[in-house]
Amino acid sequence: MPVSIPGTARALVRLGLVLGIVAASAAVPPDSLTGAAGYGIGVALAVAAGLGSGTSP
Amino acid sequence: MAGTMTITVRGGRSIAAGLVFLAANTAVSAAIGAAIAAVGSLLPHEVGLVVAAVVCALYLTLFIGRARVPFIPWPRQLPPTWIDRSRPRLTALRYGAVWGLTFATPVRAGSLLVLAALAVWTSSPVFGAIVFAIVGVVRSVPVAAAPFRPPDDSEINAWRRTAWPRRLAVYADVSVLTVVATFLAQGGGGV
Repeated sequence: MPVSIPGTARALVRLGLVLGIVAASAAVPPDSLTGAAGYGIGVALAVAAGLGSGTSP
Repeated sequence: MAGTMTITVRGGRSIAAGLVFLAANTAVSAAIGAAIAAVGSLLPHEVGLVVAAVVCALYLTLFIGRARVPFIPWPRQLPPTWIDRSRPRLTALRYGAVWGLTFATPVRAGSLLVLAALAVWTSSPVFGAIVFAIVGVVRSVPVAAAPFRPPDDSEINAWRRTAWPRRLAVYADVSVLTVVATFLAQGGGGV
């Protein structure tokens, strides 16, 4: 029998996911976007953008 | 459009058409990225960072609250009259070039908007060209690889019809946007 998870609980899970990523990201010393970190973030954004916009509507 | 294009390429199992699509998409996408960054040099320095921060905040808020991200249903798909089944390479060139415009098809990923904002902020055409070329490659590889896939790839096709591909793309999008938001909040945008 499938278990129904309330919407609020699911929202809290998503919030937890975001906060977890924030905590992990904050552990990395900040750098300028013009440096290597900038290119790293740029590549990650590019891959996510390609994946997110690559399917047919 | 990806489905339409895949079918078109599959019509002749044309490897050349797939490669033309990949090349056209990547080249045009890189040019768009360089152009966006060049335009950024004409704008105030902080515009890109402000736009990036706003997009991150909007997408993350909607993801947490509604489990979905904004979808801009503009423009519609490319005209089907562009499909010429007897000339798959020309069709691939047309679709690849227009798809490479990146913003000429519906924008689903906040990462794409933030990427454009950061290209504006850096004002570096090289940065813009590189990252947007990557967008073009990632978007077009599934189409370019279609001729190499088995004709009856029922398992992959069945999986693609589920909600998982879109769901994983949303999670990838949100994860990267969260990293960018954290980076900006830490003052990482400072030079």
